[in-house]
Amino acid sequence: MKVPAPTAPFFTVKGLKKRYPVRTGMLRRVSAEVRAVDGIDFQVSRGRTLGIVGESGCGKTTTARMIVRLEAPTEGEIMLEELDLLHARGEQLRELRRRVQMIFQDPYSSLNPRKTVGRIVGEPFIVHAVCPRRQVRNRAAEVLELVSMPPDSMNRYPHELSGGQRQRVGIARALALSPRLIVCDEPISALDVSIRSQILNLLLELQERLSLTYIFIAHDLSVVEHISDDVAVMYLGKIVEIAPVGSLFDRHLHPYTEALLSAVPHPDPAKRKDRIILSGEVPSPMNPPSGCRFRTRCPIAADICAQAEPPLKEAGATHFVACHFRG
Amino acid sequence: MSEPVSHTRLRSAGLRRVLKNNLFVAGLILIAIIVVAAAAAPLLTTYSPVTLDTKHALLHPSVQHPFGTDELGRDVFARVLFGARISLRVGGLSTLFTALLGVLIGLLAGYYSPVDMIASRLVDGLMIFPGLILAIMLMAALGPSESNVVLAMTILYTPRIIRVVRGSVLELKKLDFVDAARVVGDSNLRILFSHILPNTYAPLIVQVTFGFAWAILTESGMSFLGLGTPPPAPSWGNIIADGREFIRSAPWLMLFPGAAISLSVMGLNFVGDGLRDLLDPRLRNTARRIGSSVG
Amino acid sequence: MTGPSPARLLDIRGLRTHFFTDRGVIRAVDSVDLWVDREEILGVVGESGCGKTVMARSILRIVQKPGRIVGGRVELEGIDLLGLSEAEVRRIRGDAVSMVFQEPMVSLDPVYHVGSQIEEVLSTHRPAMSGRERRQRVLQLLRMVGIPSPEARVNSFPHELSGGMRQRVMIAIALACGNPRLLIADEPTTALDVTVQAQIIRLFQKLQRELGMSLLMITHDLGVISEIADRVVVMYAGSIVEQASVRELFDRPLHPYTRALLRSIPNRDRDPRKSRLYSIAGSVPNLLDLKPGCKFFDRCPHAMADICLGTEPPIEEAEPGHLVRCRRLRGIQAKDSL
Repeated sequence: MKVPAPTAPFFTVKGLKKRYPVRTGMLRRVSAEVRAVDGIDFQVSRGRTLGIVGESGCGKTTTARMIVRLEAPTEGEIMLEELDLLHARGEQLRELRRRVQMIFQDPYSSLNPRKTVGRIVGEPFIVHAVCPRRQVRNRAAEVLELVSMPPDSMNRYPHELSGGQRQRVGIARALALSPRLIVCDEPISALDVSIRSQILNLLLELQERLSLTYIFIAHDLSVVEHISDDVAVMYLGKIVEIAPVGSLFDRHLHPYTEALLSAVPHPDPAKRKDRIILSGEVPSPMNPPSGCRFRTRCPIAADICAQAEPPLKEAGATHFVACHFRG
Repeated sequence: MSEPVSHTRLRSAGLRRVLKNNLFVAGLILIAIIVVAAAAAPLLTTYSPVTLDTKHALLHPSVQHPFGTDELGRDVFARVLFGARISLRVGGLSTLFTALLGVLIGLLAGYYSPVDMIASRLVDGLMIFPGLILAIMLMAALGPSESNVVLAMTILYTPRIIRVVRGSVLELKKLDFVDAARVVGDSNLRILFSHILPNTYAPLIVQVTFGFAWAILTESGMSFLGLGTPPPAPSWGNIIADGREFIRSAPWLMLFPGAAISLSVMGLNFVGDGLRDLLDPRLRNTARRIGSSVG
Repeated sequence: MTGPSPARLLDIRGLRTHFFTDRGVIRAVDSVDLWVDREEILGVVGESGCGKTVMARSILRIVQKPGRIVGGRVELEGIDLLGLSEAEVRRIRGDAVSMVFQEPMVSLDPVYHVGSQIEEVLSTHRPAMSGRERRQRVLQLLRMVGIPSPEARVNSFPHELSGGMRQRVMIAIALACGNPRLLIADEPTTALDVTVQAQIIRLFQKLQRELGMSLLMITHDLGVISEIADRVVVMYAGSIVEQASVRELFDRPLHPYTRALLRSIPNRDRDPRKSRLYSIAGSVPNLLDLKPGCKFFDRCPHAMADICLGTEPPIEEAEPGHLVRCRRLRGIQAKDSL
């Protein structure tokens, strides 16, 4: 029997937490904490895509921002190969920037309206002094070619481009320094439906050609299913289920995952399943329910759920669930 | 491949819009006239603005003296023309310094909150005083001279520029392209000057244009009160001050410099309004905006 | 197209709404014919620039400048709304025909609490109601749209409510007068989380049934349409390109645009994971720059210049109840693939 060689963890997150203090009153005392991300762990292997899904307030965007060091975590560890992403400073920080990049959601605000495409895509080369100045334009043209943008687009300004073209420019900017890991924060949700698949295809192609690793944040589950190798489901700052994509979509275990998947409206009327409509709204991240956070809306909640928080346990091959009753 | 609106098309649309704005064009013309008049002053008149000629005092406006003469026989037309130089020079310099100082402090205040805490308190403190009162206090402390007028006016107007720039920076800071620059690895300084600053130009230019108008008006006011450009320099305010006693007998002494001030301020205000309309991000986003309201 | 039918609540014929900009005329709604039957849910699907929002606003005559309705008829139970005076239309707005807008955060007034915003509709349309009756009605409405503890929520400000709650308030405002014949909902679920979206879809279905009204649901989300609509209209660049029952549209889409759109959405039964998806070339056309002829020409895999360009293809009944605007239908249907 052949056992596939284990792929070493390329990217690891351990015990990651982000808490925001809420200050009130004249003396600006800390009266409460928003626990945006409250202890998450996961790994991603090289060349694979981890999809992260969840609804408003689940912490996926905060997680993405911590990985690229736009926010500093309150606690935890993030490692990319041997590089400690959290404590990198100076030269190490510059190395981090070369290895980890981000694609943003809004093609309209993610490009500086005052800069030409050429300057936007050329800037990473200049900032990191990767090549002499006179070669920057050529290098920029090369990267633009990777995203199928013609060289004459370099003299255009963002407002002259369509949403899809802007997003390509954003991707080119992220690729400039040949990163290993790219965090994609809802890269297609703000685009017209008819061009989403163009951009998705581009991302898939680039992953293959350049051996990229993606962390793909999205709320569109059918897109996540298509592009991910593994998927993590977040709720109120915690990962409630994480599994290879096939297992998650076909053999999901957590009640929230079930509700989430059944809530997706399916374009084919014949394929629709029975809906599980959750009652109520997502509780405030300032005051998460005790024990299991999902218990206030969970159809199978019981007493134990209020008393003890279920740990993330292995329920199958690399399939982890945080629930007292499932897995 | 269907291309969105091309660069050249937007430019010509912008130009058409500019020219359609009649007030803006009128303002530009007015300013142009004043600048040319100031520059060409020696060519436009043979009289000196300062030479006395008491024999020809208080003459009515005529072909020889288009604006008449004052109580010391000086040709008022010449004085107004050379006064334009003063107004433009003093106004221009103080506006320039205001802009430089205001932008620098505004950028830093908008981006770094410790700087903001100090700068905002200073700005608030300065803006409590009505402009002219503060001007009087400053000039009393500094003493009368043209450069002190420039200094005083700079101190007076900089807080407004700081506020405008700071406001812009606070808004811009939140946009994704600033985050993107950070993720690329830009230093804070680079982000501030290369990314944020160019996006503050629009409201800044408008505010600076109005500031220029304000400077001309304020300099005139200060001179009128005797606290501005010291006589015998033909600052418009000085000319009016001199003409005060003769308001009944020789109204032209106050009329013409007054008109000059009004026209300059009006012209600059029109230009400022026009610039504000022109530079409104609305223009840039028109295609997208109509797209989303159509959709 | 047949003559006026008593079953039709809303009958739009040849509606044309143009935007007059300094760069040219944008034909945002380019001669649109559509109808809504009584107690029917019609879905209008399309992307940015297709004209669906402008069309909705044209029905209520609230098109923003520089837009203007330049022609056509909008008949509500036989009466042409475009021919009425402004005062007469105002009586209809918010009462017989109502609209729920996109983005509740922007559409609700942030400085008034939600109770008073609902009350405002009532004082405008039902001046005879006393203050007490109005307040009772507001509570009733909040309950009807599924807001828990309405007595407490009445005094909340929009920013204190979640996205789903705000959307419910918007719906309450639209239904305040109690006798809506037609409710127009413009992208009511777009800004919401998927579980909240499911709740709101359910709410719309429930309200439509209970109040016996017709619903015109505008969205770009084909999934939402398939859940809620009886019939669907697909718009592209200001024109209707296809019209059919929901089942028909998803089982046998005929217009190349509709087919391409459905084909490009990832479908686990059809697209292997991580495979390249079908994608439509180009992007939504610039409405200032349209060639005479079929608007989808530049992006259509079946386009043929001599057939498709020149004049806009007429909309035809390809099958009973299934209308399509395409001259190449017969040629395409012969093949199976796109």
